[in-house]
Amino acid sequence: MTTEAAGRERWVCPDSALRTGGWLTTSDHKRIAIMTMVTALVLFFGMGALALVMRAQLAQPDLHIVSASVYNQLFTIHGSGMIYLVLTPFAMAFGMYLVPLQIGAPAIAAPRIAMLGFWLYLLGAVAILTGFAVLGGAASSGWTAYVPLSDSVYSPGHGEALWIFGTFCAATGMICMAATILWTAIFKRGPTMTMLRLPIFTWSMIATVLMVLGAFPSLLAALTLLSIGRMDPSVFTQNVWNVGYQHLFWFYGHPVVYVMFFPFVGAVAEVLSTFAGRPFAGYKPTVLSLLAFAALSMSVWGHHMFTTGQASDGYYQLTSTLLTVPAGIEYFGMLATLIGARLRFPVPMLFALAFIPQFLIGGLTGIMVSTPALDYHFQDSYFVVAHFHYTLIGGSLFGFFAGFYFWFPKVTGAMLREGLGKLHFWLLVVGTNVTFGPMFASGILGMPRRVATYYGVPGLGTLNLISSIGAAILGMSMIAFAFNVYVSLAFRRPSGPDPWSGHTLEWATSSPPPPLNFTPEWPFVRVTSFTPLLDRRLRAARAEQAKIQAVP
Amino acid sequence: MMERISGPDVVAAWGIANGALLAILIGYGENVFAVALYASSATLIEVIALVTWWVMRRHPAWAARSPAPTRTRASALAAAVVALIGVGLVWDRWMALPALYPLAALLADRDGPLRRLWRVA
Repeated sequence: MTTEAAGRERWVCPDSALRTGGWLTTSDHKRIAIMTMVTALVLFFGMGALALVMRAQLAQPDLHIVSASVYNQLFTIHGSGMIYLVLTPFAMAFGMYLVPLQIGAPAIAAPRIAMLGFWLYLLGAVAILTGFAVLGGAASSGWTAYVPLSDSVYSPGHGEALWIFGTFCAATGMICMAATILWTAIFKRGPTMTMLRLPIFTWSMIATVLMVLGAFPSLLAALTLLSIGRMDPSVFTQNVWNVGYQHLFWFYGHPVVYVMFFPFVGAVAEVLSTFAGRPFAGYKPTVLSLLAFAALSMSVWGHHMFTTGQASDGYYQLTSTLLTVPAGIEYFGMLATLIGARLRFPVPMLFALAFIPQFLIGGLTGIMVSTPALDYHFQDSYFVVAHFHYTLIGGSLFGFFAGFYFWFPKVTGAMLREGLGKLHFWLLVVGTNVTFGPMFASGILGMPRRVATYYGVPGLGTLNLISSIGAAILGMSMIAFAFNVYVSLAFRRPSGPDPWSGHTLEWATSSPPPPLNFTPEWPFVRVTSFTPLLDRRLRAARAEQAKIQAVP
Repeated sequence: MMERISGPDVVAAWGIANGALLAILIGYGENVFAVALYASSATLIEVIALVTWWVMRRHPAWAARSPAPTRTRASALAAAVVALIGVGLVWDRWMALPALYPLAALLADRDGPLRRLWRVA
């Protein structure tokens, strides 16, 4: 980084913007995204703490650190919190911050709607967590809130009602954010930025927001049905609404998994291509596969309902297995980008590389549990718990951290510490595999999920103890991460505008970017492909070479 | 051809892909509830595609500009209305009454979207 670049790397905030009110009434997409990200990170630590209490309880058979009732509340709020309040908002925050920058837009479309999305999300989080403070405790019917567990007979307190209201608000907030991101990508692209010059990350966000807009209204319908059912329990004595609730829920519940990892597939693709120093291999097939992947993800929800006996097993198995085709194309794109390249290995690259095999484990075990013959055996066992944690932690979270370390300098103007980042990375790799690897075996041995304790089945105690030790390592990795963020912000090492030699437009502007993203000082770069900055560097290198050759 | 693809084209194509998957689902004899659910989602996507296509054809300049003020209270006021209605729904309906205050403030907000719509009208 040059001294000149270091001097320019921060823009001066107007006085009004520095006040708290400047943040709370902002219409700047970057600030909305940062507030969403910070809220989600705080909740991430909270939900992780709940998981540590659960793992302490399960470390050995017949432990009673918390009561069964409290345990039910913990796994419900951990699961729903991580999905509704952490990983989905992480995904939207990434898109909210990066999409306008990557497409050369000065702002997000409909910023009031985007800001309303943040407020609704925050309101949802407060409502769900308030459940711990009311008589009867928080919701305790799992993140799926199946009836009769969630009805007014088995969940009579206000905790369940708060959960329904909070989840409704949080989901509506995500729909608001998704709509603004889609509108921005369609209408606010900079000059020369055609659809087929959009970066892979932006395409992954387009696929993500299409799923949000197509699937999340179904959750709102499910929650409305649940509310009606709590007022009139006879509603759920009718099969059409009983199984209908499951259809409504899973029509949202499966695509949301993709909402929680698609942006991070895009982030990993950007990180891999940047540190390989070349464009992502197979751009058009990858874009098509992202859209096909997203469409297929809308059609597989019934594989969560095989054991109801009221879903077309053949169809859902077919579409679930078809998912391997677009997933394979994306994987081959990633591997082809790496093969033969001169790779660099800073922390974002480590997370991106670890994403590849770990997400593969999550994906392949997903194919297993979407096969009816196996699903009947694995249903509601720890095998399923291991599968989705490999998908969401081994996959999404590693992709998230790849993106977080990669774009942190852009957002803050400061570099994260490499040493602490590597400590965080290795603890997370070890913690993830030590925690969730043994759960496959626990599930095969027959350990059911959502139990507050278990008794002496040979082997289960040891497997659970290993998982709990792994969870403690995961906790340590998060401490290393939090410490890294604190140290890096408190004792800043300026990053300059483009510390990684990035390929996409956000690296053409300052770190952090100015209020309207591009200014005469930080102009919009002419776009000729999906890697405009790489193109510019190559043009400059060719011109330099030509100049050298021209000298006699 | 591919180079000239537009945003609404992508949305429409994605909705059509879902329609194709829906057709296969119907072929498998899935129950009416599930079919109707998937059909409504695919229709919603096509409606979004149509709206964006119409806006792109008729009002491209309007869609591309950024008219919002740098600061806005409207979002916070709207969220306050929702929060108070939520309190009323969870505990007792009368507790939602204070929602009238932020609602009135939202309606009266000089930079709010409602006043802007009124001015445009």
